[in-house]
Amino acid sequence: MTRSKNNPGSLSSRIPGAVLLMLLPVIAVWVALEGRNFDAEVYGLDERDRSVTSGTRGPKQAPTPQAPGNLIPDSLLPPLPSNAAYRPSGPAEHYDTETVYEKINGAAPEYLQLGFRELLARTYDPVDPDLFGCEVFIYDMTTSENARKIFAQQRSKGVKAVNIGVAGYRFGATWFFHQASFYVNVLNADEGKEAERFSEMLARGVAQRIHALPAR
Amino acid sequence: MSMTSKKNTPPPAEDRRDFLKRIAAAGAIVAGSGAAALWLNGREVKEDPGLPKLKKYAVELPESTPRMAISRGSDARTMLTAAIDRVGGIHRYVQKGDVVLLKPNVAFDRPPTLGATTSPEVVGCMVALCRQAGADRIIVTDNPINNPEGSFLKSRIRRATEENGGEVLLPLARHFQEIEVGGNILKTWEFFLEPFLHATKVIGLPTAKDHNLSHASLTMKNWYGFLGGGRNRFHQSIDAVIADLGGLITPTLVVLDATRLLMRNGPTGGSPADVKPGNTIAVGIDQVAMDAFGFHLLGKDPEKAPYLKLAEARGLGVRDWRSLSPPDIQTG
Repeated sequence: MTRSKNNPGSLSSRIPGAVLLMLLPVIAVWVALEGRNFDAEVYGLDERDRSVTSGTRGPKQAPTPQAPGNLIPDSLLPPLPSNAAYRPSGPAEHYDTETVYEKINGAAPEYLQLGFRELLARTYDPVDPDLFGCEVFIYDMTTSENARKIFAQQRSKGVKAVNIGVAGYRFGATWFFHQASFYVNVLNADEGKEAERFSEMLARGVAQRIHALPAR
Repeated sequence: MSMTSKKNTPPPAEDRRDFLKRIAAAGAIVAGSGAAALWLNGREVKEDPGLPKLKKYAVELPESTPRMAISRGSDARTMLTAAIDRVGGIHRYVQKGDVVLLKPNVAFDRPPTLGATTSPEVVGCMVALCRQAGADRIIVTDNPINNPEGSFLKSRIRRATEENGGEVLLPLARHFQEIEVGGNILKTWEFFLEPFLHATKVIGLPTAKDHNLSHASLTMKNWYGFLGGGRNRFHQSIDAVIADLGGLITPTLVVLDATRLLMRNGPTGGSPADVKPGNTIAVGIDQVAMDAFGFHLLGKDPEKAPYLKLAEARGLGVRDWRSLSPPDIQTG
């Protein structure tokens, strides 16, 4: 004999059933409360939720390619004469507040604290393989006051002031100056007239192009 | 039997037993789930026991062997050889058949004259010494901030390595693996493990330079180069991470290249005006003492470096480097 579907059963069988049904919402509330403390790392579900002390990020990311939203135009870099002692090693690189670490790592916080907005960097390889090369860094510090501050903060001792930008100095073939909201470094550790001539041409070319920029 | 008549009829004993079995089973499942949840609740998350750990690469030293030696002069080879001789000689640390991992600082694609990277002369001399000691392979590597190929090229470390019989290992994505760091703040991290899979000896070869965040970058900070991407996220807690790395890596030897000193604007530098001749090399096994000595060379107060206090508190060495009575050799 089979029991009918509509048979509600005896009181002794209905009470445990009712207790179980009442337990379900309690379990649901408990699960919801526990869910507030969910830790994705326990289950390895979502790397974005992982804490800083336990990561699985791979090697460093590639430099940021130029994007349409870059604030510093590549045209700030002057074209080179055909007989220049250095050649661009690749396209200009752009770094913003998120990616600047990829270029200057531990130096980045100093710039970020002083309003850093964007970095345009370009490397020039020497024609003479015994030389090291030259690099240009153009930091947009948002305001001219910020650019002056980072320039003053990083100014080396015993360097020769030169007439470029608002203020500048050089040491060998290395030039530093600030102009408008920009802090410009032309880094060149090579010695000799060729290196000095190239760095000066680059530094003065950048300064002229910053001067020609429309007011922002 | 009709439905109406069934209502007033108690269910047969078989049905009742079946029903009670089902209730008991359901109750057991609910109770079991609840008990399991209570058991799991509040349990500590354990590290994956499968993550690799680094072994220790230190060698046994007699009590009488100094834990640190300083050498001053103008010739890197003479200075390095003299300093290593005072801590037992290269054969104490490197034997025939060893695979030696040398870790210079090659963080940036900068010329050596800017002081941001280890001097190629010192790297070359160290490779040659390991070769003389009978090492089978000498692997020179780092995970630079800038392009690895350009960094090893411009720093001239590739040339110095290869001319002296070593090999440069450039980092590739497949060389990185998550390991157990077991530090106070750094629990696990993606690590440049590949060279450690082959190495029987590990020698740190940092340059001595200023650092914007940790005041100085010396022997323990140099291990940062083994960390995978995203390591800039540690800049907020750089001191704790440096101490963790000091605890993670127990090297065979550390060689502090202070032939040049980047006095300002580190770690990148850029102006030759910020670099001054250091004419010094220190070698030893106490990374804390070596770093404290590096602070001294850079004209900085080691008391201002929290990571040194943390490292000393963890028993990694002593900040009072003078207490080790290191031989201080003038090589001319």
